[in-house]
Amino acid sequence: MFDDNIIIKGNRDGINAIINMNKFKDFDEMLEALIKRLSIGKVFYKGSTLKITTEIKYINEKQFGKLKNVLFEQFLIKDCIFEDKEEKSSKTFSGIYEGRTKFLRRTVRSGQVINYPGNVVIIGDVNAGSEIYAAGNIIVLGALRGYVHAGFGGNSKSIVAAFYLQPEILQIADIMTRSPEDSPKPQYPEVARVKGDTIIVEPYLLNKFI
Amino acid sequence: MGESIVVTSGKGGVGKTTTTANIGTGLAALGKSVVVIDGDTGLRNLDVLMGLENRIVFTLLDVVENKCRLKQALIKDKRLPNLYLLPTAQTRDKDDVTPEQMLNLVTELKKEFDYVIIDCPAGIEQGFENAIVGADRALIVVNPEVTSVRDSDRVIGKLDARGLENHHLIVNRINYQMTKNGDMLDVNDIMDSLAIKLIGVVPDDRTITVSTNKGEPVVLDNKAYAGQAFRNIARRITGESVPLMDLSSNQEGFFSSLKKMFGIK
Amino acid sequence: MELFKIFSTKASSKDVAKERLKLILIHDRSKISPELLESIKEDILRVLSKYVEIDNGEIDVKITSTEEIQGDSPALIASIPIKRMKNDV
Repeated sequence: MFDDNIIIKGNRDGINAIINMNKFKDFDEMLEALIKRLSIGKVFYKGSTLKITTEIKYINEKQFGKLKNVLFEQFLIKDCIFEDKEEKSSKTFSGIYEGRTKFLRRTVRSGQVINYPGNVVIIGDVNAGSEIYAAGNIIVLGALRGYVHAGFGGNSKSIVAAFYLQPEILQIADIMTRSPEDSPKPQYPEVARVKGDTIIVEPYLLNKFI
Repeated sequence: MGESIVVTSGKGGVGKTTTTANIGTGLAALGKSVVVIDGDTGLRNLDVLMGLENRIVFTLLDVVENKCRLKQALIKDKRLPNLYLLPTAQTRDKDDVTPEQMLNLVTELKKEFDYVIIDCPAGIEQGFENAIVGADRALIVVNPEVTSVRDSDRVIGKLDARGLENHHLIVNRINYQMTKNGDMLDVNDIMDSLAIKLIGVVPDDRTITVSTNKGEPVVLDNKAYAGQAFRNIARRITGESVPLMDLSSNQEGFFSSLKKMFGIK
Repeated sequence: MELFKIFSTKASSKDVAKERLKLILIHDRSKISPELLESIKEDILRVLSKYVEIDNGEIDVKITSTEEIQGDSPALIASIPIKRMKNDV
């Protein structure tokens, strides 16, 4: 049963079938293997949202239709999404879309690592010796003293904001910087973003008419 | 080819990291090229004592995992030009490094530096094994307390078992008044128990707390007794023969403060 | 200061510490765990009880050093009070 041409994974969003098209002679062979695989737990797929991750370039319009028919009719799935396997790795989380955000209502302690393919909002502090990696923005409603990397994966439009911005290392996409060592530390909230090829830090002041 | 020294003790909190920072700085002040390595992965502190915690970009873990070159991870000291720190990661574990990786690392560094000083973590598990594997000699730090001496004895036994027999003792946190009153084990008592050569005695000194606060090793403070002790130890490491400090002049208490005020010794 | 020490019978805490330390180190170095010591004690008592009657309350079995033996190697010392011989004369 060690068929790794097709891998079926389940997660919070639904079921994901990862199909390696290269391992099959043609579409029909793949379809046959897929049907055989899904038949094992047929009942399981009824009413589910199935995401298929594969090299989309190998499947033409007609074959897509055939595949969808089989899935809807034989396995009674509710919805089917296709994801391109090849582009998956190079696709960067672009823009600041709110849908994908992790909320943490606690202090991140020294030695802890947070890694999320979206935005990260922390209601608490981020202590020195901890690390936050986010594909999107990082917002800290507290003191940020750890290591942060926003726009992980290439999104240089990401921002890092905190009530008290004093990170060990701050990185947005592939640009890295440190807090200036000797100057007095501002006690107001600040936002860091990329401008040109460096990171600039601006105060977040409600009253913009100072 | 440089010399690699591991600073160990067994028991935690006796002053290994403080000793590493200070003798590293002390040797650099004597003109030697020195790199100090933080062996306490997950609970790093050597960076804090050196005042370099804001400058960590890459760590020992990045080097052994080939994510960066060794030179990229070395941090130049703020004050002395020939002193470097190799920090470790705070978000990883001591089990994430193997003895082979450590041995390779130390061997590489010995080619570039006169002295490679490894700060050993407390305990006798993987962290300890990693720290001692590349060492030519060991400095065992002990406090004048039964618990510390017992743990150091265990550590010396383990070092011998590994073939690391060049060891010397540093007695840290001696309180001269208490030893005189019979309330604290003195250096002789400890030497009797452990049967190991002495390389230095460091008095308990409140200026160490201040130096930790500031991130400035006390060895750079000309007025501190502990600083003087560490300076002497650094000199002894280079082979110089330095007599032990007379700790009786470092007396605290009302009368001695009074005497100091009037300039009487 | 030395003069007063002659009249004082109380041992200083560091002397107590030194003595304790000596025994602890000998114990540690001999690598005999307390469980093993307990087993040895029970075995010895079992054998002895075949020949003599023992006062169970006063038994003391420990590892210590003896000055007579060179090299300071640890020695097992057992102090076992005998009530009477079991074999009839």
